[in-house]
Amino acid sequence: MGSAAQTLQRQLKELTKNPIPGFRVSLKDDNVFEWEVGIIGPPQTIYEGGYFTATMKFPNDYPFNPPTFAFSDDFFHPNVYPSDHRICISILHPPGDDPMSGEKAEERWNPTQSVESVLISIISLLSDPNCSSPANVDAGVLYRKDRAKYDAKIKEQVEKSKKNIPADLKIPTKTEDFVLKRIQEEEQDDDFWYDDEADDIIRSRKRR
Amino acid sequence: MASSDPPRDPHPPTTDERPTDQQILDYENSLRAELLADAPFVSELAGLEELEKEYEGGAEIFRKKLQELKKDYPIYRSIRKDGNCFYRAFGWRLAELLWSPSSASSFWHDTAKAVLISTRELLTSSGYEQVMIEDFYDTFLAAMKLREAPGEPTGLEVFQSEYASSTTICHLRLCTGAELKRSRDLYEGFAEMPIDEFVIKSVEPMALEADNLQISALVNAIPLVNIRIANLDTTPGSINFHEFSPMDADAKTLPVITLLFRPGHYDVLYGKNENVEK
Repeated sequence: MGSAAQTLQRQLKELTKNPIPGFRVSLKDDNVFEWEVGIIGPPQTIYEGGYFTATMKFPNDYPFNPPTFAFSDDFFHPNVYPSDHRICISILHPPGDDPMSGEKAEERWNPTQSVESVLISIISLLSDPNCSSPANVDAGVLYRKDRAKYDAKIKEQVEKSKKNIPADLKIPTKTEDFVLKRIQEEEQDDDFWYDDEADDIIRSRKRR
Repeated sequence: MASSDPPRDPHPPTTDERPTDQQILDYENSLRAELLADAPFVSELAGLEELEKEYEGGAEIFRKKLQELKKDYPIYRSIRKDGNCFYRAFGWRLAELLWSPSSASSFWHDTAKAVLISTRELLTSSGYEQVMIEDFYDTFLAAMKLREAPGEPTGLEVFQSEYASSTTICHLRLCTGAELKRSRDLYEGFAEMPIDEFVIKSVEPMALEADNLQISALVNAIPLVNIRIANLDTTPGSINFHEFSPMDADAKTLPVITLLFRPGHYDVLYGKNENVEK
C-alpha cells in the first residue's frame, strides 16, 4: 500500500465494519478525502438527543498531516470558530506549531492517530471544553461565567439539530447503547485485533 | 508616564481579521515547502569539498575539522533538512547496504532480512495496532527491496517519493518507539518524563529530529549496524565521534553507518574504503 487514498479507504472500511458508537461516517460525493460525519449527542450530557453533522477533510499526505473538522451548521462552543464552524482541538494540530497555548504536546497530531481517535477526542471536548484558548470567546466566557445560560443555549442548539436526524437512525437514549454494542461486536468478530494497551492509550488521550 | 497618548495602530486587529489557526499553519507549511522544494530527499554523491565551500569565510575551526574529516571520509550525501534527516539517513544507508551486491549472499544479509521482516512483531508487541502500521511496514520492506507489489514503488523509488519515503520514516520512528517501550527501564532515566509520553511527544510525530535517546533505541530496535556520528562543532581540538552499537549483537561483525552531525542536522558520510555504489 502506499497512498493517502488507500489508507483512508482502509480506515473507512474498518469503521463501516466496526462503527464507533455515536458516530456515522460516509464519503461526501465519493471523494475519499472528504468525509461526512454524523455525531449523535452522547446520553447524559447536554448534547443528548441531538444529531450534528460535520465534514472532515484530509490532506494529500494523510496521515503525515492532520485532517480538519468543521460542523455543517452554527455550533456554539468555546472551541469551535464561529466563522467557519471549524473545531480547534490540539489533536488536529501538528507538533511544533503552537496555535493553542498551554497544551501538552502529546495531544498533538502524529501519524499513529486515526479517524477514530480524533472523533473520540472531539466527543470528549464537546462536554468538556478547553477554555484556556477559546476559538469562540463569547462561548468561553459564557461557559465560565453563566453555566445555566450556556446550557440553555446548547439545549436550543440540540433542538435545532434534530432536523438533521436521518430517517433510518434511531437515537439511542441510554449510555449502555453506546458502550455495550461495541463490546458485543468485538466479541463476535474473531478477526478484530484488540489490545489492552492500545485501549489504555486511547482512554488516556481521551482524558486529556 | 508620557502625557500624550501612545500612537494608535491605524489598523487595530479585529477578531474577523485574525487569520484562523489553519491559515497560519498553511502559510507556515507553504513557506517551509518553498524552502525545501529544490533540495533532494537524498542527494547524489558529492566530494567533501562541496561542504567545505559552505564554510568558506566561516570559522576556522570548521574548516580545520572538515580538512581532517576529508582524509577518512572524502564523500558524502546531503539529506533534506526537514526534521526527519536522521531517520532518512539511517533508512537510506541501511537500504544501500542491503542492496549492495557485495552483501547479497552474506550472513549479515540473511540476518538483516529476518530482523527487518520481524519489525512488524516488534511494533504489534509494543501496542501498535496492526491495521495502523501495515502500510508503513509494507512500504518500508519495499524500500529495502524485501517486498514487491505491482504498481508500488520499490527500492530507490521509495526514497525519491515524498509520500513513500515519509511512510518509511514513520516506520523507523515506530520501531524506535517500540524499542523504547519494550526496554523502558533502560531508557526512562534519560527521558526526563514517562517513556510513553516521550514516545508520543518526541518520537512518533514527523519532522521532529532524533537525539541520543532515539538513536540508541533505533540501533537496538534494528540491531544490524553500528552508527558513528562525526560532530562538526566549535569545540577546540580534533573532530570527535559518537559511537552507537546494538547491545545484544556482536558489534564488531556489523557494518558501520557514518553520519555527519551539525547542530540540528545529519548527512551521510562515506569512508575511503567503503564500497560506494552510485
